[in-house]
Amino acid sequence: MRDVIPGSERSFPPDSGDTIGRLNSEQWLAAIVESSDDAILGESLAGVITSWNAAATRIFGYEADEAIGKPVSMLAWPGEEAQIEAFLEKLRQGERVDHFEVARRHKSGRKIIVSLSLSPIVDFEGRVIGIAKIARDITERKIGERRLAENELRFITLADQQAVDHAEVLAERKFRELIENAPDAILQVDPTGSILIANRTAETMFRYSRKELIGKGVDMLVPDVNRAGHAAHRHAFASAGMTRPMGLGLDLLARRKDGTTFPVEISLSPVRTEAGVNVTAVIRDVSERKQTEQRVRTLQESYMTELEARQKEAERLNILKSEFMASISHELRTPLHTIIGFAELLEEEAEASLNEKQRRFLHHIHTDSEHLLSLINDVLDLSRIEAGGLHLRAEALSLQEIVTQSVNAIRPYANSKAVSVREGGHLEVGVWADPTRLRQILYNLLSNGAKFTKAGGEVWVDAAVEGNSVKITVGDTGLGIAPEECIRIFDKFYQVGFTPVGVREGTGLGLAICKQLVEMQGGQIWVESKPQEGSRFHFTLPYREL
Amino acid sequence: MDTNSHDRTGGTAPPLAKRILIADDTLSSRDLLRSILESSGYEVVEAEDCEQVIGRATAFMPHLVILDLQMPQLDGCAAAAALRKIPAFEKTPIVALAATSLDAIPEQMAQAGFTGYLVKPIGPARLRQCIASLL
Repeated sequence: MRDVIPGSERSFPPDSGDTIGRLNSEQWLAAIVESSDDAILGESLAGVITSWNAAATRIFGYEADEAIGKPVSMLAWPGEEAQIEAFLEKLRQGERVDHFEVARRHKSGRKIIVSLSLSPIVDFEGRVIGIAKIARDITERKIGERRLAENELRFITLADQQAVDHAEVLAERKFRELIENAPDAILQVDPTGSILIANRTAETMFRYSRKELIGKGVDMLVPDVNRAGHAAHRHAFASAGMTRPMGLGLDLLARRKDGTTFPVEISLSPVRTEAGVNVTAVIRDVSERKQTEQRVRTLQESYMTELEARQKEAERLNILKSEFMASISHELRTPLHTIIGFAELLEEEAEASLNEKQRRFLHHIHTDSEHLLSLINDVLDLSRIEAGGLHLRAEALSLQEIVTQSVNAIRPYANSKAVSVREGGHLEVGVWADPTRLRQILYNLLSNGAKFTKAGGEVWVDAAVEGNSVKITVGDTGLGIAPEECIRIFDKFYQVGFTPVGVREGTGLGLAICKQLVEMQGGQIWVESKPQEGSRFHFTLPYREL
Repeated sequence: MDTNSHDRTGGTAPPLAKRILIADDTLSSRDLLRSILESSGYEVVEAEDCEQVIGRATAFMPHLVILDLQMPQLDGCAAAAALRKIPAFEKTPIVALAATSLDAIPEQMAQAGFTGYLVKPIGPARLRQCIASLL
């Protein structure tokens, strides 16, 4: 805009002299300014309004005489005066402002939006002498824009809403799919028992179409025999109103359309509505599981039956074995008894009728027969114990008496080995035991002790009351037992690894019998021993006051 | 089978000798008992099963009866009980012979009417001692 407008009000620079019609160029210019739809103002560099056209009056509300000579800041939107000053400064520097949208104050106080274009006015020498301002009222446009924006916003919101609705529809569809395709039948029933909702699985499970289910009484899905009580169950559940499995621990049956029944598991949950409590039932067909369970049970039963049969067979065989052992032992013993008896009878007469050699042979027959008999007796005893055929007759006994009898019984054998036998202390107590069995235990332990004790050694018995028990100890000064043998020594047929020369092998049953007999009488047996230092066999029996 | 050959009823024993009936199913056992008892001066009659016991007893009228507990047909207890029912044997000592101490159940034997019992093997000393104490 090098076309220069002179700096005074309504004054125009001198024209080249052209005129249009009867108006000269200055008049033309003034007419153009006046007829402009945009406010065209002249301002001094100080911000004082110097010219004011008709559009300015229309836009800002001030007449020309109200505006001219006033500071332009009067048009500022309250609080934005500083901005006008900033513009003035820019223009003083010769800069322009184009199409700057800004709020301005109408004379009436209302807000108007204008698009400003400001350009410096320079004189012929290029000095900035004023400001030309064109202000276009764009308030309506702005409002329109805003409305448009609002509409857009509204449109966007609507779209969003639609998207949300769509998502909900999708979600609902998914949810419906989930319910429809659930492996369990899902029903919702109103307080009267009428079916409100039935999923697809319910159709296939009960073999009714949905049409046939919805609005019908749920009782038709209950087997005939249970139907009468079902309504009462429903009411009870609705009033309790807790989610729970139905018929816990019972085998529930449901009824198909064709009247057949099948096993089910039902879980119930209440749905509270204004009309009352609806009930959602999730029904699982457990036919297959029940069948599997049944198969497992049948298998289990057959295994158990077989196991029992085998156990019985084992028991039977064990009893047979024991009976056989008892019988064979008896059969073995009978001839031995007479052999021993005749040997004794012969020995009685031997002094007179037999020579030395014959007497020696006879002695061997006698002692070996006795030994054989003791082995057979052990086998028989253990067989009887294991077959449960040994019945004890416990009574209150004087321990002293039984010990004396046992010691006397072993003495001949001990003497033959030059082993002394001693009755120890504290034997004057009462015990609760079977006398025969107690003698047998003591005899076994004493003979064992004597057997493994060298000439000059000693075996003895003593006792001590310990609480409700009497601890009876059979000790010896014999070979002793290695620690690892001390437990196994009570096993059947177990014999310590080393049997000294001259010691006759036993059956290995003696200690096993002792253990059984002690335990049958409520006691325990154990051994303390060190090799070469002898052994202490301890056993307990219930204490009884005499 | 040769029981009768050993049946020395009215045999070599002096007329005043005490009579003893022995019942055992084993021949050697009977021979052993007889040998011991006869050597002690008793008069002995044998029975080899329970059936024979009552017949021999009533015919022989023993002062003492020795019954093996384990015999065919009836066991010794039944035989003892049967003898006790006969008034003549109400107080006659009846001794049981048990194969083991396990077979000798005192209550049962007392109930059957036994006076006492001996556990085999029976040597001469023990048998003589027992009989002497009862006669």
